[in-house]
Amino acid sequence: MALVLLQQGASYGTVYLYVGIFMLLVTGFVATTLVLARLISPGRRSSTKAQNYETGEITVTDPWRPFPVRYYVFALLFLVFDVEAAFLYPWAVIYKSLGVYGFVEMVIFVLILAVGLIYAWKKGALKWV
Amino acid sequence: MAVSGQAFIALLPELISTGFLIVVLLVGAFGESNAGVAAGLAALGSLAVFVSAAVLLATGFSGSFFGGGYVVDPFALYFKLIVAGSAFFAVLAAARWSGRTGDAPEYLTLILSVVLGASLLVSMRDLFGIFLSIELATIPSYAMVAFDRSRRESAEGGMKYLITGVIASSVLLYGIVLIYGVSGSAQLSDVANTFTGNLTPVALLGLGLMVSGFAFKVSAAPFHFWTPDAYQGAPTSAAAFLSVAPKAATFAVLLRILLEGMPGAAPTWTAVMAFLAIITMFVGNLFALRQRNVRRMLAYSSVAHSGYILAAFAALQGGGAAFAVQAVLIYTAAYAVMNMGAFLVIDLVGEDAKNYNGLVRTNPAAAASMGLFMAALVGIPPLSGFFGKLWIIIAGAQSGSILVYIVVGALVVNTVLSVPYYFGIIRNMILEEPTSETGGSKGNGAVRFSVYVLAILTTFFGLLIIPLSALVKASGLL
Amino acid sequence: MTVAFAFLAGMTLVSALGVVLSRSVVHSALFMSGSFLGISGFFVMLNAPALAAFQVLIYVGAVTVVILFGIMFTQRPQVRRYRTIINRQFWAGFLVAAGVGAFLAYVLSAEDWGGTKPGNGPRQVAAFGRDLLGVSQGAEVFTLLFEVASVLLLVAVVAAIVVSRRKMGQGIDRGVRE
Repeated sequence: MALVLLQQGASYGTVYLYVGIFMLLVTGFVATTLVLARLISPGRRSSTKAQNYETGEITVTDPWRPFPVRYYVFALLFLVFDVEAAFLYPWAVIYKSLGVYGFVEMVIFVLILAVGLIYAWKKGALKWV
Repeated sequence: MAVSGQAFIALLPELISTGFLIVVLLVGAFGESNAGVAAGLAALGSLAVFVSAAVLLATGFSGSFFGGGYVVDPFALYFKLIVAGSAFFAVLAAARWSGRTGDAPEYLTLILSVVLGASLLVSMRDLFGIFLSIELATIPSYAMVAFDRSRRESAEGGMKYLITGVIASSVLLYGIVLIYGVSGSAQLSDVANTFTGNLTPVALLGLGLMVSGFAFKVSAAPFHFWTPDAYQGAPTSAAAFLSVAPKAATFAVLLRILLEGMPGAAPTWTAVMAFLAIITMFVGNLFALRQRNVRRMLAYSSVAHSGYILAAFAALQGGGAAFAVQAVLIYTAAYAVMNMGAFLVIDLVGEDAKNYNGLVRTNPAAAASMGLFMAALVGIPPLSGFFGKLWIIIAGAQSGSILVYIVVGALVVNTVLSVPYYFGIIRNMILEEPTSETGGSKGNGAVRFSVYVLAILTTFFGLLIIPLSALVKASGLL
Repeated sequence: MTVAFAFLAGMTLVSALGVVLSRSVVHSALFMSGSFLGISGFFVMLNAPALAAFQVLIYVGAVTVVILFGIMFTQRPQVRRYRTIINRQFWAGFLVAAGVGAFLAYVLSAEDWGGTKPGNGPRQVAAFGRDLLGVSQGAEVFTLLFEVASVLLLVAVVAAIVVSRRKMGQGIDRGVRE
């Protein structure tokens, strides 16, 4: 929708007005459904209903257990490469007009980060143990 | 659009440190039990950075690149020499220790990336470049402080340093953004057009926030509280290196921002600097007096020394300005030599004051070195610290401002205040009897070599001062 | 415009309050992403759609995940009552926050911003990219900064791995030796 508008040369404000309306509609739809379901559905609670369904296991301990900190590396690596991806978008948009210069610039950028990836890989930081 | 060949020459020290950083990291990734190789490469790398900066300096290379955002002048090269030189000793001191942790290549990579960040920093003329370089120098330093897994204080110090450091970085960035907002450009030459005599409230706020961020990075009071915990927890080589190289680079870039970006606002910021200098000197020395742990004592002493350097910043006005710039340059070099040496002695002897009892009898060489460093930190002639203080006092005397006279007075008072804790160590080493707690000769040849070389440099700083001040004269930031 | 601004400001503020006041840290983290989303709306209003996209991509996406991971490593926070959140420093903290907010609002609105206006930034992603890559006039230094940023990210990877590695001799040491 927004893309079509852009191609038709609609103004910046109009396009994002549509984006805003779209987001409001989505949120509104979900909220309405949830509220309606709560209002319409009959609620008769019983102890049988509160039990675990069929093969569901009854938890024996508190499910909130501290995870080993090494999993944090995944989150941090994700963050780092997410930032890298963010750098790629504006570059990709103007790639054609940049020529060799932009190509070399990005090659250096990606190569330096590739070293980081290789390092993380060799150190086993990518291994989900 | 294209980058000229000259720019590659200008970036030689940075390119070399990037290259060695990557190679050392890959050695860590692919080799097994290769601490020696990594240490050798890292030492070679920091030496190569030193030599390349020295060659650029000797050939008189200078110029402004990347649209004026990056500048290579003798001033920048001088600080690159300090950074690379201290990195060399840090690598030597860390070689054996980091090998024992099993992650030597990573530790050395972090040292080299601090070198890269700091040497980019001193050449930047663009506020965003300055922020990015500061981060490049700071992020590895968090990991360096928290590197030692065998001691809990290391993780604690790293955590405290990280959290306070991130807040300081955001304050610094907020200040930079406000300055960018009022001047419409991040380049120092454009900022200078906005920061003339009358500052608008936002400009003042931006300046205040930026100076607060920098004050944190150089551990000036009242933003110093992370320093003792971080330096106590950090591995000795990290504390020695981080208290010297990033600090020198940060002072350099602060000098560049203030002199190139806001010369018109000098009356404002010299007053701020005078205020910071007085508080920092007193806080550093008064807290150092109470420490029994030599590491903490040296951490507070480094706070005090930041105050002395800030005193030179306060004197950047009137007739004393040229001398004040020289004072900053000479003091940072002198401080780098003596402070680094004093921290490395801890590696040889120990961090408790009791470890130094009667050291003269058990380990005369280490005791003599420590004695020299302590005397230099007080400012006894003809050791290195004396020349730094001398220059500051001369600059202050020439400035012709009452406020600066007060700052210089505070400097003299603080020098006297600092005597008890520095000389306390010397007294313990000579007068006390050796006990079972007295440090023997821990540490290895590389650490001992570094300590002795630094002790010699401290002692004969007077001979160095002649070529140094010639260099400094040529640097011509003013 | 005013309606959109009011909506975004309300969303950002309510979410930010949710971060501080919610009893569960997980809810706090999710409220935070709502706050980030509001900020990205501001970027759109300031004619910086590329920054808005980055805000969603990096902050709403990645930073929230990192924070949720961070919560996973903690013990279950024993916050049951508001009294533990609203502690003795409540009024002091409130006054400081309100004071800083009022001060900043006053100083920033009293300033004569001259040529600097909202919406002056490069609206086109292409223009933004040209600035980012240091091709356009006056932004040449970003050629250098672009590469410095990649080294910074590399160092961040190394620092993250170093800090989270295991203690020596405890369990299997991370690495090829396993």
